[in-house]
Amino acid sequence: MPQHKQRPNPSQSVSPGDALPTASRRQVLVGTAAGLAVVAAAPVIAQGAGVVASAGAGDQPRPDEGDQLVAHVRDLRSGDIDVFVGERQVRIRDRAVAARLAAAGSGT
Amino acid sequence: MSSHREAPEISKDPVADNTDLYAFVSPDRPDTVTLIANFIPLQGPDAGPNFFEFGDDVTYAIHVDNDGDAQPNVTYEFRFSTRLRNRETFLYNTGPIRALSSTTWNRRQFCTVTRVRNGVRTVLGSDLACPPCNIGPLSTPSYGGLASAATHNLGQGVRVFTGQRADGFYVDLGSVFDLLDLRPFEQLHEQYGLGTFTGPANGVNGTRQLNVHSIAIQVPIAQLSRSGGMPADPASPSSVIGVWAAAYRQKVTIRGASDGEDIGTGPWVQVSRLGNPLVNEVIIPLGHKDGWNSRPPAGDSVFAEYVTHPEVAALLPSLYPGVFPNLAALNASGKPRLDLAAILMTGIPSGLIPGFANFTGTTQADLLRLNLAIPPAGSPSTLGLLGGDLAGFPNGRRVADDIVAIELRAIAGVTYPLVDPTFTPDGAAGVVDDGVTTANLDIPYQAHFPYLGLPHSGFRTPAA
Repeated sequence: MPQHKQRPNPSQSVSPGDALPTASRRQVLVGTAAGLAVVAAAPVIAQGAGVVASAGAGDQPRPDEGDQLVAHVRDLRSGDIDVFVGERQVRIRDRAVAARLAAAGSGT
Repeated sequence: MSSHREAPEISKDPVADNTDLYAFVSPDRPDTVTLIANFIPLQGPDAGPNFFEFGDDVTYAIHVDNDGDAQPNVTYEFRFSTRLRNRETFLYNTGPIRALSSTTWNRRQFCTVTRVRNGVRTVLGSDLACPPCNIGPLSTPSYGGLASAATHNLGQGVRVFTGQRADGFYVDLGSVFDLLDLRPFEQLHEQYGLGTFTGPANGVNGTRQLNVHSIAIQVPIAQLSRSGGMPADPASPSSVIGVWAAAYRQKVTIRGASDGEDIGTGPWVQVSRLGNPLVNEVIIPLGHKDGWNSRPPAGDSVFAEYVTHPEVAALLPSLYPGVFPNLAALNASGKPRLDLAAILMTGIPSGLIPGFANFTGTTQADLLRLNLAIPPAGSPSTLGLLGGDLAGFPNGRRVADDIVAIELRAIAGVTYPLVDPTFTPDGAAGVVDDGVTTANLDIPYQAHFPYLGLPHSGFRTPAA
């Protein structure tokens, strides 16, 4: 949705991939399934995963977001991963997590 | 068409597809503005067993800018929820639907309206019943009453309706997209040596007998204007609002995630938008239409070249040899169509048309610009400004405005003298048309909110 005037980035959520704002580094939940992964339960915490950007409705997880999220590995070599949860998108860079998701996707 | 299935991606997602946008000072309540955004194009009325409905997984919005920067000052968001009474029947209704509360109505839909003003979200109404689709004399025996009951007063002078209506937009869809054939003049078409047409023919309304889903909201002008009051000076930029509608989906969809139903996750992204009619339809090229739908109007300067050198202006002299010589010369000069840029992207400055302006500033954006200080016309012309009616398109847009004729004639050159008084439009430019008018409508408009006619009945489709 377009942001209203007092918000900092009016075009952000119209095309969030183009203009993701920088966020502070913090740990994020990353699913354990593969590549384009749907995780319905038991997400794990990826220690040390860096949040490079986020977009959507607020930075903090919401109680109604449940325990489902989607991880999109954009680039396996760099470890760029988009995590979609609730109404938010968080971009992290973690090659180890990307490699684990790829391994899960290949069944190894 | 105005914006029905106008881009490759959104043509595959009709539930989120903007078809038309209207914004006008309400003729029967001139202290209010009516905003109507239509979605879900080309509905065949006999649509059982699953009749048309809004998407529970779509956020619909109507945005209003009142200070000229093409950013929303006021937004009305519409979200829908569908409820099923009985999962063990295939029927939409198990008996006549005599009221919105009828227990025989199995699959119902409800709307929540939220206003976002300067970042503050206020729920104006929730659990607002939508009417059923117009099924037929057994299922919806008193359809007018059902539709009337679905107009909800939200307080502070705001009323809303969300549901099926007859498509009030009229166009000869079949001929226009057959290489810009215009039936009243088709004998003049180049015809590629086929010799198909030997004389003029009457236009055919391509949206006849079809329905859409309308989101209509009527709001006191003072709640939308920059000043917070009733603008009185038509020459003042602060009297003008810019309106656009859009639809948003969550960025990720997981098919069949929940008992066969899809679920969405992630931030909302824009998948459709609409300001002026026909812009994404016939001005933006195929390779950019999907991108246009995903972008905010404040960035429309990147599309300005397509407005100032429109493909249709080049096609008319080519497809109708000898009919538009002055337009051909204008095209050959390479001069930008600053008249069209004003009409579609900035509004028309004061001083060009006596008593009229809808200029919002230098920000180029496809917005439907409405001058709130111009009252409704006593005798409206469907040709709007071209017909000498200052209250009609491109001053906002009313449901009956003949936007195909208006835009065809503007592109053909009749508005170019606004920026170059030495230019003489071709005689044909003043009469070019697809031959379809309000006389081609089967169901009339209404004189009151929500103004669009009742939807066509499934039982009576195809009409005799």
